[in-house]
Amino acid sequence: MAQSVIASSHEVAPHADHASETNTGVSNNKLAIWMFIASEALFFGAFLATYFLYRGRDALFLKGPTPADLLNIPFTSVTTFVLLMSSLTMVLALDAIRRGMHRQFRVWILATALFGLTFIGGQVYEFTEFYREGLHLSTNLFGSTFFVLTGLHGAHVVMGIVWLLSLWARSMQGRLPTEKAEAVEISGLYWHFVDVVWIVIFTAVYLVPQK
Amino acid sequence: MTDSTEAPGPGTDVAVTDEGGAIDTLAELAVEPVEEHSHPDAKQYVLIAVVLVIVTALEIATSYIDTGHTNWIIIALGAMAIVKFVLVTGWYMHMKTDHPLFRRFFIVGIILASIVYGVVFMVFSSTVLKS
Repeated sequence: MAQSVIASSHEVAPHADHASETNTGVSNNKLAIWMFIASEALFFGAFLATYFLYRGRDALFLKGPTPADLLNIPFTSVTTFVLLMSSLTMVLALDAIRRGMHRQFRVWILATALFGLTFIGGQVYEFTEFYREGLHLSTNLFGSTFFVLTGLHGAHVVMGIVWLLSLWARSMQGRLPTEKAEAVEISGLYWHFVDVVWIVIFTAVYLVPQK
Repeated sequence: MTDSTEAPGPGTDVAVTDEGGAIDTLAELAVEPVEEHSHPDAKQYVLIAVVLVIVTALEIATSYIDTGHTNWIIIALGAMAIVKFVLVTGWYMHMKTDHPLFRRFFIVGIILASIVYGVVFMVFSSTVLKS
């Protein structure tokens, strides 16, 4: 069976769908982004596990501001809603480009990037406030684990924003036709994964009661 | 644009060596007959966003409940986070409708991460931090 699959891949017409040109029958680009996402799950899992490992143990080691003193749940709830809405605009952008509606696509992709920028703005504000309150990266265990976990997530959001803006620029130049909608789908998968990671971080870091 | 999974036609007479066992396995895994589903439309996407917002609001409200049963609140928050996780991955990331190979990669990654960090968490929390 595998032999005939490989054989068929040599006979594919030049303009055939990407998926049928591969050994697996699925797009290599999509397969690669899913593998990358799986590895990112391991990456963020490490920092979440570390956060939970050290959670509430500051009394044993170092002194300093605690999560209860600093975390502003109403404010972070707003930025969380913003990030959730960015996932909606992302799928609407993909839907638009698949239907060949490029103007709509550019509106939605730009909206997604702006929601992402708003989220990052909120994170910068939050970090600045924490710093003013005396929480630094090396102040205590909460500072170390919190800044590393949420900071790395923020870095991923920034990368996603750059990616989205590059797609918008390509579309503006007419270099993103409907046939290349898979490029939008792949960036969307990354963006949604970043959203999923925040869903977990928001619950684990902000909402789970501190004992 | 959806991924088609065209099976090769019979009678293909191209000579192919059968050396790559791993490739064969992956190819066999991927080209199994797959029922293609269409992706959700814009209305469904908006509906999912509304559900996500409602669940998030419930989560935030739950976190403010002041009871002595902290464990129950943690379980409720975890369950709501899982609902949101499934909604985003299943519908927005099209895991529900796309080729199963993508789903397998992601789920294997999540399971491996859970096992590895579960073990790390148990080992370190029971030894290092109590020493």
